[in-house]
Amino acid sequence: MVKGLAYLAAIVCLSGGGFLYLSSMAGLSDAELKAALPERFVKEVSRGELIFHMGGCAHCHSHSDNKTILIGGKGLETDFGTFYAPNISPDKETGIGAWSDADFVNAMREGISPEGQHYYPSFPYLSYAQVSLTDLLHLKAYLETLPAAHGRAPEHQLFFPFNIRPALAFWKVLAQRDVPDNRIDDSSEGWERGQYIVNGIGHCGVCHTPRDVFFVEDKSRPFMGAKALKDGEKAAPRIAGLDADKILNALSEWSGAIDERSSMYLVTLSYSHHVPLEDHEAIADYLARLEQ
Amino acid sequence: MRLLLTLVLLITNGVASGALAQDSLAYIEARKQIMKFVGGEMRRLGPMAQGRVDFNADIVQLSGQSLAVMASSYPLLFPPGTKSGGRTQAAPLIFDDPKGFAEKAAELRMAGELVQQAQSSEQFQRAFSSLAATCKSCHSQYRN
Repeated sequence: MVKGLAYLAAIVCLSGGGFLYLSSMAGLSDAELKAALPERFVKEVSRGELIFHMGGCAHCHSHSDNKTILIGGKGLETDFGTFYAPNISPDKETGIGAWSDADFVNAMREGISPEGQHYYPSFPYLSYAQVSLTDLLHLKAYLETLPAAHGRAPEHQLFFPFNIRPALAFWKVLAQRDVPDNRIDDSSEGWERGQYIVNGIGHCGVCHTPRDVFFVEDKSRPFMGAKALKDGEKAAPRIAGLDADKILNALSEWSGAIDERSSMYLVTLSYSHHVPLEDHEAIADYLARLEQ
Repeated sequence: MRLLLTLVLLITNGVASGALAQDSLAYIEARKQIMKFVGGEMRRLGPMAQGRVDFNADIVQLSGQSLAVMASSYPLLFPPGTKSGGRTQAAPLIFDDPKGFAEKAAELRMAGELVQQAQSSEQFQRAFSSLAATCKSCHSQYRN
């Protein structure tokens, strides 16, 4: 059903003409980025490392036991086809080692590659648009410390009409309407810190928020649980308005709440081993406050 | 101590009402509550074992004891006829191999007691890792 409607939308958009694509959103220039940063800003690798684990970057971008080799290539099967996570290691040719800070920010926030190509939302840039610029640059600094790995991931294998990349421009127009603006405070504490993590780098809504007919997250029902991206797979449960305890258990490897076979388990491991417990509490506090 | 009393009440209530009503749902609910409690204790101990929270002998003793008590209740919580219903994640193997399951429960009880007796951070870490391994191996066999 959802797939059918998304089909229709894609075809309507395509027949609407490619002009919007040509005038695609350009993103920030290096000078604009510099102007937007605080004076005397210095990248901190350790903060970047925390952001990296909060985002679970390695869950898609590594595909061996060594979670620091971000060569990509892991497939994400969905009803639209299979997406392959790209190489984001510091390799200059096949990774992102040659990217400028602005290239990185534009990819993370606008879903635009340095060549101006639109990314598919399998890369959750609508969430990352809610991460502060400074945290994104800390993250970039951390990624630069990881080993360079040479190799390209396979091309996405998508069904028609989703394989027509320019059509994404139209989807982005629909999807970006609801994204809050980019003035983000990453220094908040308590439940506001939780809100920052959950909606931003944690990109929890990608799985846990239901989607509308255009496959955009339905912001009127945040974190109310959603069906899987692939038909027949286990749905992501509601996480809004749960007991804080239940959420804390889900973030703790030792609680046994999340099964090793669940796709959430990698998240649980990252949070158990790399994210401070105060942040677990902030997340639980925020989600528990949401209405069911 | 108050905590422990709550636990015992929780178990006996859950099981007693289940037995009276012969209602598998009451058993399933009691099991879920107990597993949730155990999960909470493990969550408390995990960060301590990892060294992210300071070792605290009082917490370790109480949690270890609670876990041992809980573990000894496990074999009672899965009588025949409570195999399915509600949102149970109990694997059918529990009912097909009650002896094996009871052995696992006994292992967990011993692991809990070892945690309870830990006097130092090092002892605790050793005890905790065998405790966590016990949870894991049982889940992989007996939880769907």
